[in-house]
Formats: sequence, structure tokens, C-alpha cells
Amino acid sequence: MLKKINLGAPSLKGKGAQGLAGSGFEDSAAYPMKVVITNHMPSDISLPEVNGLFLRNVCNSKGLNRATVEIESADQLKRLVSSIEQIAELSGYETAMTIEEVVAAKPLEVIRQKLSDEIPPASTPAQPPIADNPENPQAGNSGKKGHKPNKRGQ
Amino acid sequence: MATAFTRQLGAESGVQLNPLRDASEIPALDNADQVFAIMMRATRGRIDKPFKVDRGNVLKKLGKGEQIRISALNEAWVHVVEALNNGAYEAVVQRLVTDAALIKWAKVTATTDTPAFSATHTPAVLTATVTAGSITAVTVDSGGSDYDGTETITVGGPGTNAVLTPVFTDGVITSVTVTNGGTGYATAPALTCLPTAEEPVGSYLFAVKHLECFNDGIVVEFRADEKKTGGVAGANDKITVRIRDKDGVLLHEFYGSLDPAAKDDFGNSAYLPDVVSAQTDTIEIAVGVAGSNADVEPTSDAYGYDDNGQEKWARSSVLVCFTEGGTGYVTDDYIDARQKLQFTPHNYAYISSGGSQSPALLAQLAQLAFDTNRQLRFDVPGNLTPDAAIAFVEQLNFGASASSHLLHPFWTTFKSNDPTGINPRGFFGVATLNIAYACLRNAQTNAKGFAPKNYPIAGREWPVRRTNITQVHSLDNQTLNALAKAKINPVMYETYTGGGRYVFRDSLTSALVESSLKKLISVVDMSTSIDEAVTRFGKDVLQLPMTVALKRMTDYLTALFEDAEASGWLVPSDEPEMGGRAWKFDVRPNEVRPYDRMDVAYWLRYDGAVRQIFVTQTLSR
Repeated sequence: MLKKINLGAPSLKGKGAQGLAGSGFEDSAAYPMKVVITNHMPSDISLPEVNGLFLRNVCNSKGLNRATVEIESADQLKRLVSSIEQIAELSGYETAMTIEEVVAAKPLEVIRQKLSDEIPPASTPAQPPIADNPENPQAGNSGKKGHKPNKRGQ
Repeated sequence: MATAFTRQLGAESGVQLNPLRDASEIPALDNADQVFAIMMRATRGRIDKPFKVDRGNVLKKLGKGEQIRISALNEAWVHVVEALNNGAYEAVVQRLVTDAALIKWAKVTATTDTPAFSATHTPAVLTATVTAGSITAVTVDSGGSDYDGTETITVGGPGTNAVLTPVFTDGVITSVTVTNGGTGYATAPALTCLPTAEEPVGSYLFAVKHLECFNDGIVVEFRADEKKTGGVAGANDKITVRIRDKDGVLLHEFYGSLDPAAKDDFGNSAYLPDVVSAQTDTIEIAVGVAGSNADVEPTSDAYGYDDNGQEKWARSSVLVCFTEGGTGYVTDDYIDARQKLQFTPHNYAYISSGGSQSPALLAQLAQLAFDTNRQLRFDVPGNLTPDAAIAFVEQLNFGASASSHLLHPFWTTFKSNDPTGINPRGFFGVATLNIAYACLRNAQTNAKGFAPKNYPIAGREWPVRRTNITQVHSLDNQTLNALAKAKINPVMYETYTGGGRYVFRDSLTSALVESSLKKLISVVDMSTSIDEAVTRFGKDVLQLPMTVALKRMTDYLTALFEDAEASGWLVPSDEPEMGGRAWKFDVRPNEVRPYDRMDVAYWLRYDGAVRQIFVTQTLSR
């Protein structure tokens, strides 16, 4: 299961400081661990606790609001999560940052198998063609889009 | 002797002498403005409340420090030691720990002639078996020790709702019942169950609880002297206990009895736990035997003398009696430390971040600054770029805080040798050094008791005295402008008359003001001192009659502000309402509640500090 945690101001999220509870990141044996940290706030963020990590704001056009870093220990991640929650609290952001585990790439055959399991053959429509409805041609387009796999092949 | 008076006269004739009345006391503050507070990770130090360290005992109380390469959190130790060596009188330290921290007892058992030593309160090792996302069984790999039978098992993630019930026998977990297997456990969760018995469970001679919590352990040793009756050695209930650190440095020595009824020559209790509690609050001793077992037998290795006439001591190896429980501090841990620093009886004037890179910790320190009206001086990590340094400060949003003027960031732009010598060359923050210099300045009071706080700790007179300094960041004017707008005080190389030096280049608070005294650290230093003096005097006059309190407060403020003006803190104001004076105040009973409320207000014009000079030369004919 992909480990992911969404962080924001605890007061705005309607609960106390979330920490790592229930996120799956608690297993100390899993460290060091590579994670992707994404800044969703409209301000630059500096987190020197994690190798001087500096993330631009979410509005930048170059994708500099996310970075892959290595977390040395569960303790380091706990402190980082506390810091992010406090930054969000001080600035009043309900959605501040996301931390997501980087999953190592799987062998090609595994991906092919997974894709073949999830995507039906082209000759077999997944659902009745909505575009057949003459009163709602646009719905047919959206139906085709829904049929197209996203970048992750899901 | 015959006195000419009595203390209380009745109807008889005589002279009554009343107790001495002291109206000579002059309100004076202690040297709290030479003390700073810090919450920090340390390898030694009690965890239940703040404690003081000074230059003489810092290594004993906080340990010899660990390298920053082991953990960035260790920079705080460098800050404290450097500050105490450069002017800070004392530091009030609250040690940061997680809720997994565990203090154990050093237990001594003497079932044979060779006493045995061990650490108690060993947590059990439990392993969960997971099937289809649910916990189906728990294996007890090790039952631990010293459970009082009320503990519960904490189940880690990623699943939820599992409830595991431990079964205890004589303080040991013997099995675990799966009350609810929960759901969502993709992997086996971590199971923790910390023993919480007040004292060691089971039989033992005595046990020592060292509340100063040394990560590196302690050594316990004890002996009983010979007790001869008719030339025959007999069992002795009186023992000497020594506690040393791992290097053999003596920390404590106690002499007392294992018998609860024992008395000393003055009739006071000589029972060992009572003797210890009368001498220190950093050690607790529990005696686990009674009656005829509460003594040391002549055949013991801890009794009398050896063949060479040397005292026989039973000595432990190094016993690690404290488990720090990791350094994964969460917001609640910081809040807990903040509250302890807020309500400690130890007074201080400054708060240091100890070079912390954690916004979570800084946020709590900022709250502490507001709650206590003390100044927080904190470091922006030196390894950041100018953009990242500015982002580090701005993300804290301190400018929006009611206490923004109390928050003072410093950015060290150079590498230097470690002032304590335990780390390789690197970036070491100087905010705590700035505090130390302020403490040194505050010690130099004038005849009226005022320190030169109108002189900020910045510029040529307060260079950073470290070795092997190299400027890392070259800051151009635009960067310096951006830093000043972000209210960051760079610490960097500057050239002055007589040569260059590394200095605190500016003295700005975090207050988002352009032209106001609130932006100057020196003004905040003075204004917080005045507030402290007035509120302290206010407490002195509480519960006095209203007219007396009004009179005393008026007299006190008059003297205080006159002295402040004479000391250069206050200068004449050009505010029309001030009428050319440097100060004015108003003391009166509250209009709505005149019987028990007094309103005190004062208006002061502090002297500023020069930050910018504009020079123009004009060529004349």
C-alpha cells in the first residue's frame, strides 16, 4: 500500500496534531526512506531539518514545489510533520503539504500484467457508449475520456 | 538576662517592644537578565522540570555533548556551553523528550554474598501476527519487568482499532489476549507497553532512581562498615551508597539505614530514603527488604574490609537507567516543554532556540516569548541560501504575531571552528552567543542599577570571537536589503576602523514596522525590563490598602523613570502630549471597580539606535 500523508493546520482540519498516527510511516525498520514532499501553499517553504529542503510555492510554473528527499528515520519524519503542521497553523492553511513514499519501480512484466488486468481489451467496451444518446453528445466525449487510462495506468 | 521590655503587654505596667519594621527596602531586580532559557535535546538532565546550569557544572549536568553529525539536535549543547563561557550567568534548561522516555531504577539484590546490580523497568518485546489485515495473535518474545498490572499496549499503524490486553504475573507480561484484531494492518504493527510501576516489583535490597536521567548511564556502589559486638562482626543495617557517572565522577554519596525505624544522634530519621530526600530531589531510593533482611551480612562482598585493609565496595557496571525514547518530537512534546518553562520558578530574560531548525519548536518558543514577555533570539540555519533563509523566517509568519517585537532572527553566514571543540568546522548559530553578550552587558549596571541596554548587541563592539572563520555567503546590497525587509539580522564580516571582524550586522526585531521604535532590539530590551520591573513591583503592593498601593506605585514609577532617563534609556519626546518630557504615567483606581483594581499606564520615549547614516560632502568654492 502506498504510504501518503496530507498535512495542514490541525485547528482547521478539525482535529489535533495528526503526526504519523495511522499513516503507515511509523515502521522504523522501513528507514531510510525516500519520499516526495509537495508544497501546496502559495508561499515558499524552507525545511532545513531535511537536508536544507527548499520548496517553491504551489504557483510556480516549473514544478519546484516538490522534491524527492531521503528521510533518515521515523523520528526525523515525526519532527518534520510537526514542523509542517505548525507552519500551516501559523499561516492558516488547511492543506499545506503532502508526503508520499517513493515506491521502487517494478519490473516491466509486472507492470504489463497489472495493465492487462486493469484495462479491458479495446474490442470490449467497458460500458455502453453514452455518445449513442443523441441528446447528449458531450457526455459521450467524457465517457471516452473516462475510458482512457491515466498516466499511472490506473 | 534581664530585658527592659516584653513583646506583649497585658494589663501590667511595662514596656512593649514591637517587631522591627523595615521601610528601607529598595525594590531591586535580581540578575535574571543575565540568564536565558532553552528547550533542547540533551544526553543528561532531568526531564520532569527545568533545571539550571552554569559554567561550572554544565558538563556534569548536560554531559560532554555529542557531535552534530550524529544528530542536528546536538547543536543546542554547543550553544549553551558557548553562551555560558561568554557572559551568560546561567541557563534554564528544559530537556526535550518524547512520551516514550522511561526512567528506570538501578536495583541491588543481595541474595548471595555477591550483590547483583541491574536496571529495572524493562519493556516487554511483543510481536503481532497479522492475517488478512487483522491481528490474530501476539507472541511475547520477552515479558519485560516491573509492570504494575494496569498498563495497556499501544498498537502502531497502519491499521486501526486493534485492542490487545496483556496478562501480568509478578510484574511480567506472560501472554497477550487479542481483544479486537482491528483492521487495515498491511504489515505487523509495532507494539509497545512501557512498565509504570512506581517502584521495582519483587524483592531487592535497595534501588536507586536517578532523576537526572543520564543517557550514558550511572554506576552504583555501596558498602557497610564493620559492626562488631564483643569483637564479633555482625550484620549492619547502615550502608554508604555512592552514585557516579560512567567515568567514575562522584555525583552523590549517602549514609543511612535500611531500617525504617533508625534514628540519628539528633533523633531525625536515618532511614536511607529519608536521608536522601532530605539532601536532594534528584535521587530517590527505595528499600525492598524489612526486618532481619534489612542489613548487610558480614560475609557479604560489601561488608567491612578486605585482606589488605581496604574498604570492600560492591560496585555495579555502568547501568543505563534512562531510555530517551527517540527524538521524534511531536507538537505535544514541544508544548509540554514550553509550559514547563513558562511556570518554572527560575527566572530568565531571554529565550534561545539553541540553533534549532524546527519550525515546530520555534513556534512554541514564540508562544513562550509572548506568554512571558521575554525575548526569543533564534537562528536561521547557516547552510541555507539567502532565498531559503528568507523563506524560513517568513513561513513562521512571526510578523503577524502579537509578540513580533520579541522575536529576533539571526543568520550566521560563515563557517567556523566549533567553540566547544567537539565538532568539526561548520555552521554554528550565534543567536545564543548574542544572548550571552547581552547578559554580559546587563551585568554592568550603573549606580542606579541600570545596565546599558540602550546599546544593542550589534556592530563593531560585539565581534564573534571564534576561530578559523570563513565567510560562505557573499551578500550583495540587494540581498542585504531583502534580509532587512524580512527582519533577518545577518552575522557576517564587516570592515571597521582598526580592521575587519565578524559581527552582528543589524539589530532588528520581527515587528513589521518601517519607522517605529518597535523595530529595534535595544528598545525591546529596555521596554521588557521596564515591564518586568513594574509588574514585579505591582505584585509587591498587591493586597495592600488602595491608598497605600497608589502612593507606593506612584513613588516607584517616579523613581524608576527618573533613573531610566538618567541612565540614557529615555530621551525627551517631541510628542505634543508628552510636553517635552521623556516619560509620563498615570496611576489611579479603576473607575468601575475602584475598591480592588488599580490602573497603571505609562508612556515612555526610548532612545533609538543608529542603523543608517547618510553622508553628503559638498564642494565649496
